[in-house]
Amino acid sequence: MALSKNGSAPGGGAAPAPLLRLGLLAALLALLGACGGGETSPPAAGQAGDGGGGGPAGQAAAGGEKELVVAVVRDGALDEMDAASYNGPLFLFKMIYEGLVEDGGGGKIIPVLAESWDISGDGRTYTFHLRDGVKFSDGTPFNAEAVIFNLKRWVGDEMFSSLSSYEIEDMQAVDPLTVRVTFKRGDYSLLIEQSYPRPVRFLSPASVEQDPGNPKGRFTGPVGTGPWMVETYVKEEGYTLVPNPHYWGERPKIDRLRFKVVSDAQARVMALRSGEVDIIGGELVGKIPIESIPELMADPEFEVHTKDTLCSHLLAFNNDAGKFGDRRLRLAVSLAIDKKAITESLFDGIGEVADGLFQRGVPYATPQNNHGYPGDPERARALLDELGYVDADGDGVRERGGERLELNFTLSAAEFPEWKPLGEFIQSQLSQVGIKVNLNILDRNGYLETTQRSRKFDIALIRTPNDSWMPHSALPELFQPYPDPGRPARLWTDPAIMEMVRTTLATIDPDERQRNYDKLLGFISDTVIAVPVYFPIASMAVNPRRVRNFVMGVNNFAPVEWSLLEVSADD
Amino acid sequence: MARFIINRALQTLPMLLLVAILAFALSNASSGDVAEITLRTQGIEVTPSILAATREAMGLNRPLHVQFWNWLRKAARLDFGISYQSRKPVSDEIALRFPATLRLSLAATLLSLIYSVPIAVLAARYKDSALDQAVRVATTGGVVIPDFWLGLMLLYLFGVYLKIVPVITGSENRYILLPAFTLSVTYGSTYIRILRANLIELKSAGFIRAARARGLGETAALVRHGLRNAVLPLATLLGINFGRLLGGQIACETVFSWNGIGKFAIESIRLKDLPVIQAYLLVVALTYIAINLILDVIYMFIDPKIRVGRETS
Repeated sequence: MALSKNGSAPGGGAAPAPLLRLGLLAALLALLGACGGGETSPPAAGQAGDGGGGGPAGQAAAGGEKELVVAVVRDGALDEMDAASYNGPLFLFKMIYEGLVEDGGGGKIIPVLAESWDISGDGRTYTFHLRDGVKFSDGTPFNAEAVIFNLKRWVGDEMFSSLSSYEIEDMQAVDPLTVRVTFKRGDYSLLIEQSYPRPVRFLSPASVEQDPGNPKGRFTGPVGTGPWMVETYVKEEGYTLVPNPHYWGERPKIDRLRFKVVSDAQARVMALRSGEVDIIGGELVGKIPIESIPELMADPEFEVHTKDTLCSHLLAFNNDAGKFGDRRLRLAVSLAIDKKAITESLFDGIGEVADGLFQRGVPYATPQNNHGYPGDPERARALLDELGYVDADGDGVRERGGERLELNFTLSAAEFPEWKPLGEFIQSQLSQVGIKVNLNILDRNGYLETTQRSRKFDIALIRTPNDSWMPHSALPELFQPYPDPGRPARLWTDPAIMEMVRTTLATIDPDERQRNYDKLLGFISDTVIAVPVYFPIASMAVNPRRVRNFVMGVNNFAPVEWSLLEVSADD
Repeated sequence: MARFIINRALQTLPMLLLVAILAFALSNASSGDVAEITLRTQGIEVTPSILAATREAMGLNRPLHVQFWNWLRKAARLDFGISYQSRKPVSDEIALRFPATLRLSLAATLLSLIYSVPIAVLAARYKDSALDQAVRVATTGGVVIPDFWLGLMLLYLFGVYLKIVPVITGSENRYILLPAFTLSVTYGSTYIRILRANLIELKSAGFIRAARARGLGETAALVRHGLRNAVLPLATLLGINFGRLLGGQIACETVFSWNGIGKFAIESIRLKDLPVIQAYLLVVALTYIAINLILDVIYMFIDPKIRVGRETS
């Protein structure tokens, strides 16, 4: 029980008598200790103003303020969170900055800083009619000039060249509340890009070092028009957000959101259990380990909220050498894998069954054009027999022409720890139809190197993008040569698919676009270009004794309807 | 004396150069394209033109020996460049985290001594007793137990179940005990075993028997005369372990949200943040060298044999 006392070991000079004899050790430690003297206390709680640093068990905020605590996986780099940058967590962008439009969920785009917009016939010119009376959290008015100022900060910057809106022919402030932008390319995704967490968000022009005529001046702090603004930030420790007093919409119901950095996933669950944090989870905030979700669901002390994502986990075939050229082999692999068992047994029902290439909510994907193949090992065996793969020597592995049906299966557990059991499960399923699988579990860099550069794999686990990037951004990513023309695509190299992708993205007419998607997605599904194995879901857990009115947001970069949150009355 | 120290310090220079070369070579040789990983980590969709521009901006297009020379020249002035990930000076990043690691290392080392010395004395004094057996079992366990597991268990017990410490320590001194204890267990167990063995060996030594003959009790004889001799062989190990602790302890730091250098180093390796990895390796090597030097000097002070031996040879 001695451990329960909070003694500070290095400061406690009262060493027991025998220790004094260890002059050697004392000298050594004192010497080394001296090096660190004076700088031992980190810039921790002190800066937080209200001193809400450590105490266990849901310490109420000072002065009866309504505060909720959220565990976040890493530092927020708030001192560099320029709206036109890639710095800082995506979910914060939407809280602090706003765009002209937002993702309304289900493929809908809703007005935010632009109340309405007109699109020219060729899909290149957008006229945005701005909301009147909007101010940044520092009081600076938001208007057409501020929009142009912000666009100039990133348009044409190489870092954003994957966006269609990267190339702008002309932008003008027509009047204080009207902006007209003419893009070079008229891709239908232009408006969706305006809803991305970055870079089409708006930073207060006063938050850029004053240098008249130069919008690219140095960024001085994250100030936007969003419902929240930054109150404190301590590197590597956490940050607090408070409501923006100038916010034009409905103001948040609580006084403060405190984000604490907890890198370890298990420690986040424990911090929820100990009452130190009120909210955990979220793909981009700080994931809950998949094995802890059923455990938290079963616990009446906590509330678990889940929501479908738009992400697919796929088994990719490496067809660079034509090994998987025959559709029947790809189909046999797909049929050998029981997708239902993966979600329901392996992951305890956490997730959705992969019954198509994309999840149900992905725009343009329909049950007709986006279909999968449920597990059917009997048919898989029959197909392999038909292909001439037979197990002649009775070792459990099929061979053809003296060559064993043996596959190198590359994956990494870095982003998704659950890929290790998933990989092992797939390995065992394939072995049951006579395909030997050698697992090659790599670290993140080795995995990217192997799957994208050296391409020394037969099959690999990959994931699609998620959220607003589906499917228009996912398709080029999966099917266009990478990183240079002439190289294989990340998922499957086929000029016909590439052409279909290009045509579809450039189609402005919605009905024609849907028809093009039907053709494209239908072709991918029919030809078994990849095997969708698992559809992850987003999950968050809250302490209901503290948190009221918790509603999950539309996507992973807007994981929670933060403004609706309330603190439970009985706390 | 001064000459000895200067000589020893000079001898470490070739060693440091070797470490610098290795640090540079190894971090460059590990798999993955630095520019691509850096871009990707920031969430940038990589295109060939971005990649080319980033390589140029990061100076990765220059020949490796030129990169090395540029880096070495700066490193000699303790300028380790800018972190690819945080875009802040590497020295600032290390300075932000090193004090927390130093505090934790000191606490773990002190703590391991505080309990290992009395336990070892008792185990040696009552050799083969039930107590000794229990100590043997416990120390065997202590050596093999993974610290992340022990840390999580302790955190669960004291943070979640008993609620007497917070799960999120925030690197604060007042919560240092659990992480320090977690770290100390492996080392402390080793110290107990070594000390116990040394003390048992000394039990039959002439000066202990003499002490006993003078009427000292068994325990008193061991503590007053045995301990000093038994503890000397431990000093080297203690120094090396302290150096190892200063390299950071990824598992313990992650579990206890202790903002130290270990977590940072591992993350940097994962993200191929070369300036950070190189600086980190150099700093760790320097720490080891410094500790060795200090140990040598201390030995010289307390053991005339070493001093004489060194000066005459």
